[in-house]
Amino acid sequence: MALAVLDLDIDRLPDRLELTADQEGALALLRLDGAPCGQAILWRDAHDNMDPLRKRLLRAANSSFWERWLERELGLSHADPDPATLPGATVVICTRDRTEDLERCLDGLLAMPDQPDILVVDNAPSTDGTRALVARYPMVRYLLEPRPGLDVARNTAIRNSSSEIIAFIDDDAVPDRLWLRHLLRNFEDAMVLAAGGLTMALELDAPAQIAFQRFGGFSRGFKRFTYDALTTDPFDAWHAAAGVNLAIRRSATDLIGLFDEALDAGTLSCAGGDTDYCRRILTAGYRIAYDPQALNWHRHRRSMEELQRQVYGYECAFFAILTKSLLFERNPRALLRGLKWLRHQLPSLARSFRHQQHRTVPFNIIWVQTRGAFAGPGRYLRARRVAAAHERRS
Amino acid sequence: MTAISIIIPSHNRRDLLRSLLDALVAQQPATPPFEVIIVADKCRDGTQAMVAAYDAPFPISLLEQPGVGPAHARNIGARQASADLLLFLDDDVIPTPGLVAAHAQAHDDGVDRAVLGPYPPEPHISGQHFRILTQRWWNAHFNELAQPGHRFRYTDLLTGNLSMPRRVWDAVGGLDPQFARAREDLELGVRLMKAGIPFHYAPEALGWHHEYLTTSLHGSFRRAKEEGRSDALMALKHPEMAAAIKAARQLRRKGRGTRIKYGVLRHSGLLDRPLMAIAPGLLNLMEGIGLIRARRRLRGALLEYLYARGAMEGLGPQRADFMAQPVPGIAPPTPGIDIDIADGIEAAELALTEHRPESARILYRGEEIATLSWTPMTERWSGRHLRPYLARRAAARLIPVLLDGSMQAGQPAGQASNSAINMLWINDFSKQLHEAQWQWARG
Repeated sequence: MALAVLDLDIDRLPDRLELTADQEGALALLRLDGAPCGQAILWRDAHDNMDPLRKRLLRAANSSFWERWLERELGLSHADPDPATLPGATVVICTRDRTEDLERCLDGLLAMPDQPDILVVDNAPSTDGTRALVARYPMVRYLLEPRPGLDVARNTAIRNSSSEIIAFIDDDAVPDRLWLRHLLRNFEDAMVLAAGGLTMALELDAPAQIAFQRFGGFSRGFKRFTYDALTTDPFDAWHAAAGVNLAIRRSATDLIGLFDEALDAGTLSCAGGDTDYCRRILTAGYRIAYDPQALNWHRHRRSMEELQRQVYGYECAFFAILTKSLLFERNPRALLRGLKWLRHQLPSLARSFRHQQHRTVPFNIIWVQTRGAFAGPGRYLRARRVAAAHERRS
Repeated sequence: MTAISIIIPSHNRRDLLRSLLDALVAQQPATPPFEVIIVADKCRDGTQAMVAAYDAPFPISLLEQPGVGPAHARNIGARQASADLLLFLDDDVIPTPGLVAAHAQAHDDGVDRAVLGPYPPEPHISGQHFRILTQRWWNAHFNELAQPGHRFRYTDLLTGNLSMPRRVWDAVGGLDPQFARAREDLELGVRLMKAGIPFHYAPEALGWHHEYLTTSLHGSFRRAKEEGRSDALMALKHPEMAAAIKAARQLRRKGRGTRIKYGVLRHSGLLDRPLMAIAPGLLNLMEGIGLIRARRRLRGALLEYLYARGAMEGLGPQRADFMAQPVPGIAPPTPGIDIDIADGIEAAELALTEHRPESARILYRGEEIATLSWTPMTERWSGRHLRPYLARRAAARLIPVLLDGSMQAGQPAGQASNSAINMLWINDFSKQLHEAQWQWARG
């Protein structure tokens, strides 16, 4: 099964939905006057198949689309940010052996009307493909970070940039034209230390990609919102933003420190460096802005094995963070949070074994999550030892 | 000639007051000449000496009071003022360089109005929930005022950064000192609304509120009781708006539960002080170990209790009489008008601005789309209120009209799905995730 991914402006629609033979439907990003404002999901065999596309989309559109549409029709629209008033930024891409994706990302960045400083951090590469690729882009800076770990690479990037804002984008993501501009406008509020944007699926060609998008993927909704420690439990800081589309204020590193090098991809903790950073921002009393107009597109993992690893990794990282908080920050809330997780997870686990036929993926998600969770504390402690050993060496 | 008299009541905040005076010295060039009147109310921290020694390019008068409360202190300051325009600042509000000029400019045309300047919290970092909540309240308050379609209410009037012509102040009689510790500002708002004085929000008249130095979790409980007391007094003084006051609604609720509750509350006064003393520590403990929801509930219950206790005390011997009266219904004093938007939304706006009704029905070809209802002590409806109100409150009926100029019975939202309509203007993360999951499940 596959779905088409469409990027549609509601005022400039084709008459019909054109699908290839293997596509069962489409996930459409809806725009008004160029601005992303909502989404609609259409299926091939739906009862309204014969209706004009516009009518089908309106029926399937979500609330954020209608909010923007009402505002526009009533003449209440908001102005776009003025680039002259925005802070300076360095866009950072941490990458490892993914030249095809990276090339698409760099081309996307260079197609933006804003030309920021761009820095590629090549993290423990196995070939010099990345170096060769970046050499073709004279305006892009290249840095080699031989020590593996996404958070290691992020910290290297922070140390090697002087801009007020550091905007991270994943190597397998592509920015929308006005991505950076919209991300940067959120720093007007002095209490905002980080801003996240909307990430849509670049393609939904494989069942694993559809499954990921369906679980929530990187969905954070299409409504602008500012998170603080009261709107959101800091342990749920991933609600606000993820590393795929995240900008931080440079001064954040003075106020709450650097990324935790015992976390995230390339370490035993699997993931969570971004969540942990956002958690620390909220815990300290600062805010994180979420702005769906800061849109980028992410190519989700194509194979079920990768998806399974991702599910495992997210839960592993969540428990790594709880472990960190409990043991190294002496935060008793982590304990309560772990218990709360258990209370929800155990009944779900029982259900998942009883209703195996309802699975949408070939593995038991809840069971994979549970295994990840139990591995989390041990993996974090080992990752921490690795990071500390390096610290001593250097 | 002095154009503006700035009146600042103060109580033992010498250092903040000095910063405030520094900020007044640093007002931008071309600021109209002003004088400063400081009412030092029971100050024992050397405020008087600081003010006396302060070398300023504008006249400063110092009035000493033996602890009369901020409301009376402002009245005394206003009596002393020599200018035609009065500007009230709190002693924990530090003006930006354009504040005084912005107030002056907002009164330039000589029309009587109350000008509200924003004083959002000075950015201050604290992970404490009380602090975050307080900051959020203040920010939300001023964001609301900044909305172009905001309909002013008596509750918008705060005295921390407020200006009005002296003749308006004198005509309504200044602040009422019986509201000594809370709500003196809102009560003034009620009388200004009654007198038909328009409110105006001046975003340029910005000051930074150093609330983190002057408010605390501890103080919030004392304040809840004062608010209950003042609300009860407000219901006595302005009976026509009792329906809008929480204390009055609660006290007049019929039934055995209410009788028992207030029967107990009458005799539980000895509990108030111990409760106020242990509550902050207990709540902080709960916050520390992560019992967030329980903490929120407990705090809510404590505030509610103290508010009700304050209301009982405020009513005093009039309590029984007050409780026996029926809850007045909320009915508009004058019948509303009907406006049909089939002739265009601009025409509807013009009609509202022309009639300034207290209530109105918005129709489309005879079918009702929205009711602009009457609310006590609120600005009359005007054209600028219409579009934001319709977007927020009448979306379902408005969408089909705006889409293709049609309204069909039984299908109020036209082509939009009900689940989208139900989620309009809701920002909650989990609810939005559910909305997306509903989208996936559909079809």
